[in-house]
Amino acid sequence: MQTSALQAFLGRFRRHRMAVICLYLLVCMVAACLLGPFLSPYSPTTKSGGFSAPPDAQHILGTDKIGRDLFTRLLHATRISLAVGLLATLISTFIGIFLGLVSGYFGGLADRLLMSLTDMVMSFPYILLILVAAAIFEPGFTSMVLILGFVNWPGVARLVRGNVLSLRNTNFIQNDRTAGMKPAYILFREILPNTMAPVLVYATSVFALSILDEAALSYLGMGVQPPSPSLGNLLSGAESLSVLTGKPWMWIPAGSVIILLVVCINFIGDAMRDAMDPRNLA
Amino acid sequence: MTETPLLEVHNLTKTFFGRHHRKLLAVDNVSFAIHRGESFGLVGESGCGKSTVARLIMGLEQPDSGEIILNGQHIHTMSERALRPLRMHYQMVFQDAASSLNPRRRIAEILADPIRQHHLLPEAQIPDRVAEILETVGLQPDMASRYPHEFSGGQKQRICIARALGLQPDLLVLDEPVSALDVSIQAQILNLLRDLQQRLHLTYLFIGHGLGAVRYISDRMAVMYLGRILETGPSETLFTHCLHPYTLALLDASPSARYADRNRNRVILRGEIESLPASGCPLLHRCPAAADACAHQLPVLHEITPGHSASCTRAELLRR
Repeated sequence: MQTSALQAFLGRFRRHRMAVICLYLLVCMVAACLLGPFLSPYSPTTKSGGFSAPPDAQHILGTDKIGRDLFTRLLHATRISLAVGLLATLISTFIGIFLGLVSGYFGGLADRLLMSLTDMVMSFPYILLILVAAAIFEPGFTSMVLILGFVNWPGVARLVRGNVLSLRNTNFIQNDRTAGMKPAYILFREILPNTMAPVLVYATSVFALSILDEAALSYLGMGVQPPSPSLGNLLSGAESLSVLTGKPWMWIPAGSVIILLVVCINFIGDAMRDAMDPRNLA
Repeated sequence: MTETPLLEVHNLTKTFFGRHHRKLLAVDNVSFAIHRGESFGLVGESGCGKSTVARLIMGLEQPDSGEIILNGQHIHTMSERALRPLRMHYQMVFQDAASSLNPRRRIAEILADPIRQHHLLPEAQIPDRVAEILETVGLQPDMASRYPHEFSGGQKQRICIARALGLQPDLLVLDEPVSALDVSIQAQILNLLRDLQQRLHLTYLFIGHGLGAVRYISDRMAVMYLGRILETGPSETLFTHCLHPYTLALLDASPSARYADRNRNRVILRGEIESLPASGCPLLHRCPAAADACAHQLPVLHEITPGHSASCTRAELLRR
């Protein structure tokens, strides 16, 4: 019976052609950056060719201005950006779920405090917040993950809270209360599984957003620090007009990967939303 | 009746506040007692507060004032934590069985979890117990591996009853358990409830708006209107010799399947259920028997014949 639910989900998912294509693309990209060392013989951080050389047989995407192989750097950059996005999404989803559950279930003062905090974080110009945080803490991979993780949770918290509020009044939760079930049981065994579907869908958009934020911050020099490559700091190599117009191999691949990742993740998220709604018949 | 009742409700009052601080007196000074093994019915129109009474007893709402005493314990004053171990002694069955079951969990888990929570049985015996209670409510034990959406409405209600029975309660609060079901299924569930009561020595608080169902299940009953009990007494007496004009109207309003009954003179209430009049009897503007005195004097529930009370100043006059 569980398999039939899964099959129904897959059936509904498959109706989204674009999402299926995107899923394959994403899997290929993830596989490529995980297999990076096997796909290219060069190191991402040491010089292996001429300065700012255009693509040729040895360096299929050319080299950057200090002679590092750009294909290798792109593979590593994608891996790092995906890792930042994934970890930041995990952190913010976890925080969001926890605060949303507490806020929605217990209500009262806890709810009011948590929701004010949520509104505060949401209304704060968060690029500024990230810049300040990046300035205070050492910029780098870990601080990047933590900063993004602690900034993107309010959406999840609100979503979960709303779900909990509507679930709390359903008969099966009231029934649990009258049966003397403990709050932990009600929260984690009954309410949480029923909110996971929308949270999962929302998390995909947080994932896409985190990748974009990482690119923006690294571009500004506040994110992943060179010589480690990331999609953002690859782009920062293209700050000058001469590079933009004359050396497109230095920024078009990184830009395209960002666009591809974000578009793919969003399409998959959309398809998941439709596929998780059992009212959409397969 | 010398033994102490299983459930006593004294002067229960609950007010809800709506938008713009509008007060809604949902339950107003309600008192009754239910003895062990007895079945007590609570009837009234939608919105008369009968479900709120059930929710107050179950601790899903806190009363403004009044007492709820179960088995000698004042359960209305207890904290949620202190109450939790006692909750197994009184269980509730809701009207909408479909939403009473978590759609993502199998019947086996739904039935086993409360038993686990209260440590009623060692883990190894729980599957057998689940099978046993499924059989008790007339379902196949192998249905335990299914999900709620695979059952019909009547079967879902049986599962809800099974979940309540798993904790071996003394009191079952049934909040319109058959109102959402087909008539033929209603009869099955009512028969099941009656059968269970005899076999398991249960005590029922049966809430309903279908008079037939309440009469079938209940030994005694109370009629509620706008949060108050207007009349209470043995079910048969209420149906044959009711004292309150409202009860009479309620009886006359229930459609009769028999053609012969259709053309006799009925007592019909005027208007719709409305808010309380400024003074006097709550039924003032709707009552066909209202007199001038009714506008000034709030009638209190008083015993008219032994065990049969009504809150109508003209009850004695209207006796028939």
